[in-house]
Amino acid sequence: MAIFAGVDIGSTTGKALLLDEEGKVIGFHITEATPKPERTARICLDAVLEKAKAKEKDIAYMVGTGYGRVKIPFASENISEITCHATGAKWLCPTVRTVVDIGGQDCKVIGVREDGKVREFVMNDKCAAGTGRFLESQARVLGVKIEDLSELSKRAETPALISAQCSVFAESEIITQLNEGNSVENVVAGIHVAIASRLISLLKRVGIQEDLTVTGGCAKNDGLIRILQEKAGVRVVHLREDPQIVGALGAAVLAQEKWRKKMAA
Amino acid sequence: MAGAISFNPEKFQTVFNDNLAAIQNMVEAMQAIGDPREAGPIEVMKAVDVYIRDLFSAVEQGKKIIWHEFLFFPEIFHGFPNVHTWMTETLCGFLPVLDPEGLTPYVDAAENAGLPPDVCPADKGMLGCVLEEIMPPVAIACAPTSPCDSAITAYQILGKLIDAPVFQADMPYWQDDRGIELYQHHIWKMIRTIEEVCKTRMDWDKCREHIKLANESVELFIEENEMRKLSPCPHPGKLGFYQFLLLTVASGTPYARDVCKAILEDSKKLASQGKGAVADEKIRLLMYNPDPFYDVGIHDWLEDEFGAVTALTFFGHATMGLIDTKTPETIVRDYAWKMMNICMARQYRGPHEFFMDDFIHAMENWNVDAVIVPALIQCKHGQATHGFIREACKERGKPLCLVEFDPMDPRPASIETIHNTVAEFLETQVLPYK
Amino acid sequence: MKELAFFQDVIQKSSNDFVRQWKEQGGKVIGYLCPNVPEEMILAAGMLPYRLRAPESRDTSEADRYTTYLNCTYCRHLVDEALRGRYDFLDGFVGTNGCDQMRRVSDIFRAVAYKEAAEQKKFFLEYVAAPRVPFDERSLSYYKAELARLKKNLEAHFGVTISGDKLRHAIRLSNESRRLLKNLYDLRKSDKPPVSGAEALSITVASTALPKEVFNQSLKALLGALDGRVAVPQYRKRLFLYGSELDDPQWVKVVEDQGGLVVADGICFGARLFWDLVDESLDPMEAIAIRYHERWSCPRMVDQDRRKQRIQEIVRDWKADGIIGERIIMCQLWGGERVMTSLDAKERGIPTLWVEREYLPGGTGQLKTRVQAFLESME
Repeated sequence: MAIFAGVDIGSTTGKALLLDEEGKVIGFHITEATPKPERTARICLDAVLEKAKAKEKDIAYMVGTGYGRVKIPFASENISEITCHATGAKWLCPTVRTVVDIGGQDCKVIGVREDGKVREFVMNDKCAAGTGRFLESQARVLGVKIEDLSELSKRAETPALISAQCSVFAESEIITQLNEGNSVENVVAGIHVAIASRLISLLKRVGIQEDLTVTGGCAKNDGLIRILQEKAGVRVVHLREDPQIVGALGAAVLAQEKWRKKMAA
Repeated sequence: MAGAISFNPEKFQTVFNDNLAAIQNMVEAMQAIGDPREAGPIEVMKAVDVYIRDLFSAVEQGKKIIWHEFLFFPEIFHGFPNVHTWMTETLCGFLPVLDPEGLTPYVDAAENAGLPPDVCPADKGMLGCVLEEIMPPVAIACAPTSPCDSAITAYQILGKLIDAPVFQADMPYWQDDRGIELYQHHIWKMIRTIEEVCKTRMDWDKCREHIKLANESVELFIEENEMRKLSPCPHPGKLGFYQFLLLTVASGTPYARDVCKAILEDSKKLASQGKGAVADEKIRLLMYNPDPFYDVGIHDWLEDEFGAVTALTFFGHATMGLIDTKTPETIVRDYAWKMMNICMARQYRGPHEFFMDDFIHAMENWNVDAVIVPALIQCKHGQATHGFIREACKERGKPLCLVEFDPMDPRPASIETIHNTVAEFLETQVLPYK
Repeated sequence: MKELAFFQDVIQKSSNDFVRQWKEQGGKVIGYLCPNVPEEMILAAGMLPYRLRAPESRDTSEADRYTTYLNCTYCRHLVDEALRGRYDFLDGFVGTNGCDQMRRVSDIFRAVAYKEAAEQKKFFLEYVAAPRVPFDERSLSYYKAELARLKKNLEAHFGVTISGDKLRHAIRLSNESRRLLKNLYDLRKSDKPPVSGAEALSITVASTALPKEVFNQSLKALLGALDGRVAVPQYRKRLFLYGSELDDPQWVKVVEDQGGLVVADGICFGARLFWDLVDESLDPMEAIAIRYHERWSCPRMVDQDRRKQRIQEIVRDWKADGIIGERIIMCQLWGGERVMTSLDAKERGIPTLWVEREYLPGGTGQLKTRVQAFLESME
């Protein structure tokens, strides 16, 4: 039986996902990124093959995506993470028309057409504002675990106002807030507000069309998502799979499509 | 999308009624404070109230409204019967005064439409107000190709958004007769275009009356400038900002002239009593580039905290002259020359000397101890003039503070940040040497 | 292909061997930034017009004594090179008010970089103030007067006469370059263009860096040798390139390596350099003024309707599938044009991608991702 693989190599994590011929997800794996994309790809591919009890030779087609996509020699082709995220999100939720991807080092908003193609997109990959990297570094400053950010944020009384446009300067603002006695909960909520504001401006550039969904690791941060939802004035639809693997899923779906086209030709 | 934005009466009414209420609150609050420094600003805000009420009436009466950029003083348009004027950037000027974040929704609207953040906030704000449908109706929009690239591109964009013609007059680069020749030709063209579009005819006698009022305002403004050379400086630093903005919207009206008159009379009275904005004037400052619109109170803070009066500000520097009302030809010619000499058009459009000459003249003639130059973050020619500014201040032994901010949006550099920068400057580079 | 490599090599540095030879033979070189300074006038004065670039600049630390991080990198690098004396092949510079930041470049050249040399009469400095409203008689007259002053001062400083005949000869040479380049661009209408966008940009940039006769000859040789050449056997989509000053073929190559073949453009080192001819039937100074004032404009001119029209025609005639626009960060004029072009493109359903860049190469990963996603969205 042919299987299809999607491998999404980002700068912080690598993800691999397998689909069977019926389009069922038979396994996925998330690993920490190594400095070499090829190595990261190998690690997560091997891991997912083991999880799914499958063999590499059964892979009929593999699509690589993410920033390290051109460095995956065993992929059949590579496709941009923008297209893969749109495809993956739509596959999980056919009514999706806007995808916000909050990645490790970049964030993007993708407008999706009815046929699943990308209508428009806008990316912020020039600064850390609105990315997982920003949340990570501030969690460290606050002395809390990333997994706890959501709960802390929900317990806030009033989100702290963090006005710095740049995440580098936001750090000193955050430290000042703590020194002046503001609670960790309020500060975490404030950080979420700052990130959500940055995402909202990207959203408005592309135009918010329902259904709206969020992908990437930060989508698991419910505190952040609630604030984003409020600001967007629109419900955020939760996807039934781990939001971190949407890119890899999209890549696998496209792998299946490409293979089918090839067979038909 | 071209021509897609049309007049939205509900939004317009809501926003402008809110503004009237805000102005009323502001005036009441200033009156309650009872600080003599508020006297001039109170008169200006009351005049703005009149300006907005007049706009409401004009809209109700269905009058044709000419939008004009701030570098087209309105006196000339008042010569057209049954037509009303609206200074396109009015809200950019006054919303941040009423509320520091007042303009930010409109800046965001413009950026969301694809305008880069590094365009002047006056243009982002103006286009944002258009996109958000809060502007009054428009029959024709008029702007010079000045003071800068931001304005040139903004009005071309405006032409695609509104269902009305946009007339851009070719402002010459050089400051000479040949330039006046060119510019007056474009002003004539503008007049003819307005006549056609608004189905009106310039009434030169009516125009003459308004120009005379505008001339009076200029004379009063120039004299006020001279008064500010005195020590103690009779009026506070923030007054120049208010007076200039008033003239951009209402130059040529009797009430604007009356405000300028009241300001000068007050100046003279204070001077005769040896009084000034600051009881004990320790430092005299020059602030030469637009003030932070959301924190014009920075001058009050300087006066209270440091006894530092801003003897002259960029907006408060009267660099324009009078218009000879003898014939239509002299009117148009002198109006062209006046517009080439209002602040920003005069200093920003040519070689750096156009800015530097006025800057140095101000530095040397208002008896200042130190200089603050707002390093406006979107002002490209301004940014590239810093080297020359530094050299000129060094040559004259004047301490210089270049402080970065966005003049209409407090988010890039907060009010606190701006104050901290200026305070550090005064404490380390000025006060120890006084 | 050696005829092509010739152009690619000659633009690698701030100057080239032809300039060096010219100088060795006693020739003079006049630098400029924006074509509002007509090359024909410099040619007619017997000098080599050279459009300045800064491909070797690595740093803006010298420039940033005057410019700041909020100015565009094109301008900052030009100033930096000038202050470091790397344009020492110049005998003069004519500035113009192309845009606000370019105005200050001219000011810094005049008041700092070349101040001393100009005072010692060893360097020629002049300025052409171009108006902004095309098809207006008085604006045209203003421009004519500026050119007349340039002519007079060139003659006075260098002790030359710019006669009608010399101008006519210069116009013929420049027009020939324009016709040859138009031929080149016409070949790109085909389904298998003989040159890529990157290659075409090397050629158009080279036209601003070489003696006219050398350029014309070399381009003729290239056109002769292109028969049957297919620059890119397989590409995904055809693109029209638009945007801020761009003189780096490598940037275009990154776009094209993703499969987006640039078949036409509207950039100022590209098509807008040569699209309009000078009318050889008119008085030469008159003809030059009209051509430069009314040519295919950049957003500094109040002329958006015509630009919109021109883009429409070229996208149609060169069968472009989409538009790729680029803006140098901090470029206000192209930021505004971006808004206007996007509105137009949306109206007509032309897929458009706008990206931001700096003057020097860098950030190619980010560019590749966006271009790839854009091409995928069109497939």
